[in-house]
Amino acid sequence: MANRTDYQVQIRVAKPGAGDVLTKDVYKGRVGDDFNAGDLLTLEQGGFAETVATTIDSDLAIPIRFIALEDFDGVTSVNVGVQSITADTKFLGQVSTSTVTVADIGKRGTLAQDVTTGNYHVVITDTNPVVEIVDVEPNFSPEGRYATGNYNLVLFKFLPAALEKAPATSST
Amino acid sequence: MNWTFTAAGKAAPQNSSSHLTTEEAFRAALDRGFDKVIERMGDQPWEGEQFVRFQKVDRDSGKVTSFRGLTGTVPLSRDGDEMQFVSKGLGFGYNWNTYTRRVAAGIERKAMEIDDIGYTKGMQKGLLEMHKRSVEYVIADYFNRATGQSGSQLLAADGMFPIDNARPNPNPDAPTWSNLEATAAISEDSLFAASLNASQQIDEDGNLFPQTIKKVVIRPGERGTMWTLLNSKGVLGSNYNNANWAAGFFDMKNVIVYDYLTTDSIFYWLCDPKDEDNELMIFKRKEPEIKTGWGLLASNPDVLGMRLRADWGLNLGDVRRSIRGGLVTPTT
Repeated sequence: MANRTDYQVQIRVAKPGAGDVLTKDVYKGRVGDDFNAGDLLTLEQGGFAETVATTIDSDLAIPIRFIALEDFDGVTSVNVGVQSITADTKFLGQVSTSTVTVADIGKRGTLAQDVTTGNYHVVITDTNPVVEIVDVEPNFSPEGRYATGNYNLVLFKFLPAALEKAPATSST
Repeated sequence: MNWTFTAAGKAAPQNSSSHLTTEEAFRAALDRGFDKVIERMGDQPWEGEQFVRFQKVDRDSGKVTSFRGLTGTVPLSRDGDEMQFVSKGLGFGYNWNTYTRRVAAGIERKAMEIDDIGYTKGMQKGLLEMHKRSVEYVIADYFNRATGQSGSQLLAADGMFPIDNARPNPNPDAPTWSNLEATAAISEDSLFAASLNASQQIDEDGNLFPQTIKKVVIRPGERGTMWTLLNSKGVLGSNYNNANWAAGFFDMKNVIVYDYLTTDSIFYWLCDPKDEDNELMIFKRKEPEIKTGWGLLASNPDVLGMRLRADWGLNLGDVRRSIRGGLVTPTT
């Protein structure tokens, strides 16, 4: 069994948490701002769902609001399917290091988007954190489907501060 | 028209970013096919269950204890002498546990309504396959780490790794014993050593307790080596005409190629794995059960929820009467 390589898996919602689980057909994408399913989005002041940044840390001035459910080509402004992110929403994603242990539960970190795959991954750091690891693969899937020592999936959630910033101003 | 292509691996299409099977996910599946969309889920062999016994239980944990028979030999004693008494001793016990596993799938109603390609179908079967895969990998993990090279999923009742040396005996009078074979390539010599070691085993009181090897489990990479070894009349790699002992003693039909065995190791079964001598058991408290219903999850009448729940655990007692093994030097 081969190892799971870094940045192989895009983040996805694994446990939706309380509240509305899906929102869609309410938010339009902005022309010129193309994104793919799995990208993290904010709600721009003009009412558009818009991409945020490739590095998501607490320096980000705008709140994280959604994860895209579908690709958006940015050609015409159409409604896009998005899923709301709450402080309860738990995501499944990879960490940038090759292994995680139970000692990583409770650690904080930032998100970085790999330029090649477009996939976000968690970077464990105490500097400007926006997410918190709530569970690790050795806990919820201990049978080791991949080679030993290659547990690098985690469940994480956003820190409330990352979701509660003032809305972004329009960039158009 | 291009007649000469250069291979370039595609980036994997990612899972739906939602926890639900959404209409967007269905449309994305449509984009990737046309009139017909293939669900590429092949049948895979489930192999691990042949090595374990199953036990239905009501409780989720418990302790198994054991006792030993009468030990030693009958002492010399004349009729008029005072009688010498013997009594039974306790053996090693172990604790067993079962664990709850759950997973769910949710499908948006509209995705089902517009689905004409079967994208939203077969989810219950898929959940059950996930359960079977879990069982498979749990058993595989047991064997892949049986010698404790990176810890082990389970310890035997004596507190040692499933395959280990210097194993204690419950009778303090008895020496330690081993079911660990020396690391070596599979050869006539290594098979003979295993056979000899099995016949030299001792019981819990230190008495000779000869065992015979009934089945051999190897990883797929050793299939060719083993086949050649067991089907060659003469000793491999020898100029002499000496007969090949392994070919006469073992039979390929008693060799199990275990595809999920990824560690370079070999196991020798001393009993039929389904015999009660095998104390590697799955305790099943709850068989996998699927509940399906609109609004079952997410409290939304337009989300078809399905959830699988099962409660079971792999547990190990004693290994003396069942298994020996060790690491092998891979030949392929």
